[in-house]
Amino acid sequence: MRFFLLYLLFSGVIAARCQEVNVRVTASFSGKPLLLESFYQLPGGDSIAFDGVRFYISDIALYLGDKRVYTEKDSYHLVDVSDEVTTHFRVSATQHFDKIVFHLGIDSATSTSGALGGDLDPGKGMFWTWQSGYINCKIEGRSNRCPTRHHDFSLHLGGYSGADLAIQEIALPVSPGDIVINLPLDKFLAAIDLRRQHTVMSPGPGAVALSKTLAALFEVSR
Amino acid sequence: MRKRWVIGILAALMVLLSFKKERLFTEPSGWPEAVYDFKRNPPDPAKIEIGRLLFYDPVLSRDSTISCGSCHLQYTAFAHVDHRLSHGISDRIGTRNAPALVNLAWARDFMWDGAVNHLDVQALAPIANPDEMDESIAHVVAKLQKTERYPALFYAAYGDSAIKTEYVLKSLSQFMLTFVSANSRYDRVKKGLDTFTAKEAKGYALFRTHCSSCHTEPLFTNQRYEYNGLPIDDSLQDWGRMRITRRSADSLRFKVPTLRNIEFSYPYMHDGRFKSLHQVLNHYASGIQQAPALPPSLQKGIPLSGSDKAELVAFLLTLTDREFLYNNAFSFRGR
Repeated sequence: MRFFLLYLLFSGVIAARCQEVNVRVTASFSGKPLLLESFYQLPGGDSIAFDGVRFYISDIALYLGDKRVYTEKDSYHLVDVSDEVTTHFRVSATQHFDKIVFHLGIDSATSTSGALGGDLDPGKGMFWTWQSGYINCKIEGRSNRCPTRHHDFSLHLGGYSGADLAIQEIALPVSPGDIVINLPLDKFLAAIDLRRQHTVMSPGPGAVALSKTLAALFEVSR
Repeated sequence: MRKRWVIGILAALMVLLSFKKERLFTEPSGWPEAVYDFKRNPPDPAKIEIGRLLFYDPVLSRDSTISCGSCHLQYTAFAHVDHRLSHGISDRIGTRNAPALVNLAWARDFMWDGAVNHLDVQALAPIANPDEMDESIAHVVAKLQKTERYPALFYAAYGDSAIKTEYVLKSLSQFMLTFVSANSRYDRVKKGLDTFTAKEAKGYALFRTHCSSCHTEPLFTNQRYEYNGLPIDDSLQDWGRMRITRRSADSLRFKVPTLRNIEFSYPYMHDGRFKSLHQVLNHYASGIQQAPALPPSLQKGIPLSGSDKAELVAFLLTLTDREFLYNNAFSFRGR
């Protein structure tokens, strides 16, 4: 009996301390979930539609204050906002936490490690073939604001070395329970100028600037 | 007592494993340590064999006409003999001369401008290039999966009959890593098993004085990007390393190629502009164009008399490694 009570006590403690946390990553436009191939109004009357929004989230960690309480192993997630399977994952928190920290993109060491599998498979269309390196983020679509053929825009953001390093750290305060991380793309379009910033397909200052702008917009929603 | 047994077994295993690595990939004695990280892709005969089949299989190209071996022929040190610029799908012509594939385990990066950072991901570039194979790696994997032979081979090698990009690329690396050329007359002379003729010995001395700062022994490349005084080809407008780094200091710099097997890897230079070694030496003697990136050793050109050039060529021919050029293990053997 005494053992049973002890067991109950322990399992209760463990259950309280080790909890599965669902993480979901979403993209939104004007407060509503983003739909691909759907036209949205931009301030000023222009319209925009997205064909694809894909990005890497890596190196997920949970913090309590300044203390790291959880580090995900082999933490690489290719998120495709149109494919629900890729937007959900689980982390197991062993302690309370009040902050999630992750990276937008792939780090230099991984970018120079040769052929990798899983979400890092270079066949997933997120690896430059003419110049090695992961594309951290692809945002593609069309808008009459773009002075390009078919009004297309293609933002392929990447770069892993020196001043071209495009990976961004993102830290967001969270409350206990499941975490929903949202990327409000209407704010991204308000922060950039599609008339000029419509085609980025190689590492460089353009990709780094857009990556910083994008990373600053991630938010936690409940 | 038990501990000793365990240690003994572990030691025996390590010896066995090192023996295996030794046989499949040999670092010639006295050479620097290979750069390729074999721990992530340990040599395995089944994987090397898949790599060999893939290297010679045109399934890698959009219309199944071009294989790696189309532009990298073994008998010419895996360069493309007689083609100044690489010749790809539908008779399209690329912008650069297909380089020799020799001693790749020692290379830090790849391509004339260093665009590729690891041997494993090198093959992605020609596969995707519209002037070369014009295909996507994802589609290559899907095509391989539908073949009769490959799923079983991948299962035997990787324990997985669902073919993955990673397996395809690692197998190609395994095969290319076996391209070790270290048994030329030069190498045998260095080991004391042969001697240079008087002419070759004079050529070697000239080489040490004028060429070896970039074409550093034993790999005959310092693996760096240098400007060697070639005037730009107006029709190609190829600025080399600068395209990758966007630094003006890298304008016109190209990777220093190895000189091993140079007798057979003509034409020479990144754009294949020279057909013979004499044309190359004439360039260094009297064709150098001044530019900020020119290394000090080339600023006045290399003063070479007619006999100096003949002696240098005699030495360069000692870098031919017939065992490498005719090694059956590297050859196409039918399908």
